[in-house]
Amino acid sequence: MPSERRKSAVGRQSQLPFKRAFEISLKSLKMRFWRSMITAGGIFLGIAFLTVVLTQSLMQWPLPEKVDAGYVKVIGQVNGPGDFDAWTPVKVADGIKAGIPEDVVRLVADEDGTFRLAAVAQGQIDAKRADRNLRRVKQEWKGLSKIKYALAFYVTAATDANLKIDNAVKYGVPDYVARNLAIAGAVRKELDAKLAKEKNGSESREVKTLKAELDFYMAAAADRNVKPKDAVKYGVPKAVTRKAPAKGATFKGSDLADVVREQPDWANPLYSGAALDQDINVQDAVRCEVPETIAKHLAGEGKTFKAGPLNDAIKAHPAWMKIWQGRAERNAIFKTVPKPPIAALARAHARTLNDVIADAKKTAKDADLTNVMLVNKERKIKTNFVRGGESAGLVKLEGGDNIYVPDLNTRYRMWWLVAMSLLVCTVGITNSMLMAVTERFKEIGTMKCLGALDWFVVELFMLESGMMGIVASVLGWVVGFLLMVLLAGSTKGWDMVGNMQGVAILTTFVEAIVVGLLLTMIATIAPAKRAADMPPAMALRSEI
Amino acid sequence: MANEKKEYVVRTKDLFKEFTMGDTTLQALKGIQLDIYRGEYISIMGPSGSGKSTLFNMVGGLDKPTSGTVFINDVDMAQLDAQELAYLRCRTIGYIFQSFNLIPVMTALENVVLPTVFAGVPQDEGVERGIELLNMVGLGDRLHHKPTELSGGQQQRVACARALANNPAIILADEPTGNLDLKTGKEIIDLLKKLNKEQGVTVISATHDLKMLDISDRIVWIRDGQVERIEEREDVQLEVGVMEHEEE
Repeated sequence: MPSERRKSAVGRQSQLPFKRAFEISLKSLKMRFWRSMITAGGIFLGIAFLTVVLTQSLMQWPLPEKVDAGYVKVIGQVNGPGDFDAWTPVKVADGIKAGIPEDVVRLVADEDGTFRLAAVAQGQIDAKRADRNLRRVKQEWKGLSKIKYALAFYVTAATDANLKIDNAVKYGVPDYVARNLAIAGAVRKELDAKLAKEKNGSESREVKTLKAELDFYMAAAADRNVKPKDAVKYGVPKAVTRKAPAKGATFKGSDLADVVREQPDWANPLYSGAALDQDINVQDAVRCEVPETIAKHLAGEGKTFKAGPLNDAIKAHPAWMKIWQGRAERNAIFKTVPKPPIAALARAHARTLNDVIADAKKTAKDADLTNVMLVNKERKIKTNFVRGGESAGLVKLEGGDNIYVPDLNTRYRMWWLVAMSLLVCTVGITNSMLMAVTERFKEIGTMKCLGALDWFVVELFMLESGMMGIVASVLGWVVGFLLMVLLAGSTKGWDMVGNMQGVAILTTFVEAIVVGLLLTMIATIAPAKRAADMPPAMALRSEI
Repeated sequence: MANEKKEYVVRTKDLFKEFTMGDTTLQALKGIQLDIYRGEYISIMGPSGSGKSTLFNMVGGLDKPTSGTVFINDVDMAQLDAQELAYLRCRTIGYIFQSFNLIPVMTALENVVLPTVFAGVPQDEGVERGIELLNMVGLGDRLHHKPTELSGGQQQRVACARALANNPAIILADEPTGNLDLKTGKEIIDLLKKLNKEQGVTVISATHDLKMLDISDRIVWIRDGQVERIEEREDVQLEVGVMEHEEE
């Protein structure tokens, strides 16, 4: 076969060195400078947009290592930067050096030679509370001691005990009431004795007289207008009038209660309530010198209370006074601790932002400087943490500092923005590169006619688009970055811009270049490969 | 020359080419049988749509036939892989197109030098060759002009120089005068003839320019994708002469 023999005469086109391809593509770029610029513009815009979004995410308010504390946090509360963790062990020597009195430090020190500021703070709080409570208890006692005995008397009255006349008079029972009740008591005794003797049930004249006498004296006790001459009206023979009772005479509590029920004007509401074992109104009680705190406490949710518990409270009160007295004395030592050394220690042992983030990392592994937001007084300070499941919001700290805890949505929004900008980027770049390659199909056909290998054509285009991609990406990054910096700086403050981290900025730069280059290459390789693979005749025919 | 040795430079055998456009299939070539000798100046004539350009693409290795074979220097093109095909396009065949197809961003010289770059010729040598060729086509003073700064005739002359860059055995010219006016068309035809005579290049030219007939060794008439007839120059010379006579 002649063709077989001659085929070896046809050589194989050799691959051109990379340098040659580079020269040609560089020349091509230079020659079509303005057209290349337009194509690069697409890449540039995409990358600039991406950079703006990325840079924006780096913007954060400057964050001091330590925020001035000024207060002490006790366990169970949120600790933000600047908060003092009251449970951090502090060396005894440091405490004394800072100015806390030695006896106080020794009192709260642990065996290992450290103490916790929480103990001192707790002591101060306890001392303050003891003082306050002691003051209150004493104040209450002033009111209570005034009504103490009278109340006890009336409470006893409710139990139907025998009451002495002189006691009754002392606690506000009018003289005539006490006296008449005592006589009535004597009459009742006599009557009872008589009734016990007469068993047949028919009433003798004496019994009738005694009953009339009892009615008369009870009426006299209830109404001061009932006079001895009125006795006849009650069926008492004129001759019968009893002697005044003896000094130590007693009367029945139940009789007094009856009188109070009938004619209560002389007894104040507190005492009448006690005697009748009725509900006492808080307002009435306060008017009768019961301390408001106690009245309210006894009434609880309602508006009334009974005399019995009040009497018990009065009995228990001296014990309370003793307890608070003791506590106040015991904690008085903490009042000798001046404030400045505590503040100084707190500041020295204040939590840093890194501590907060370390805490945050325990709940969210990806917590870092960009996803916890700390709001410090009027300024926003961005820090980071996401707590699983917790909703976003401000966590209030004392002293005006707040921690803003963003929820997951905040982060998703961020990713969504980046994804959108990437999409815009992709569409822009792909469109530019597709156009740039497609309009050169004819050129590709010509090159293949002149002996270019498929791969060389692709290499040329990849080089061109690669160079364009890098330059446009760098420019896009620079412009996007500057734009964001200027915008943020002029509107929100330059310190926020100055606070950006160099490494983070560098990362966005690398990201922008990689994205720009990759997208450009990907958008180029498809049409370039297609053009290179076509028969040259078809590429030559194509018209744009 | 043609008498002493009949060495074939291009041969086609039962060449068929179909184009499928949607549902319809168009038969552009229907069994073309053509032998072309070394050093010949051959014109392929025919109305537009007759399949001239398709044949031209087949012969030039720019497209693949549906069936049939093309031999270049007795080598079956269908047997060649991409690299061998590229080698062939680079060194054995020079192409001239109706629309010139110069690379628009390159100067005249760069366009001419490009094939030598692909052939792996050292740069200095390639540039030297390019200048020489451009001088030959009469554009020695336009080396650094871009195609857009040249007239149609000048562009086509650059294309001719480019086609010759790697000393090809064959020049394929697809309607080289189609986009040119009469005078410049004549110049290009003269140039091709000169190349054919002086350098011994086989020129295969698809055309419907009758001026081409005058200088062609043979004329292949194509109609509906088939070779209608092949005429020797001697047979048509008289006709053309009469026409020229009439013009005067």
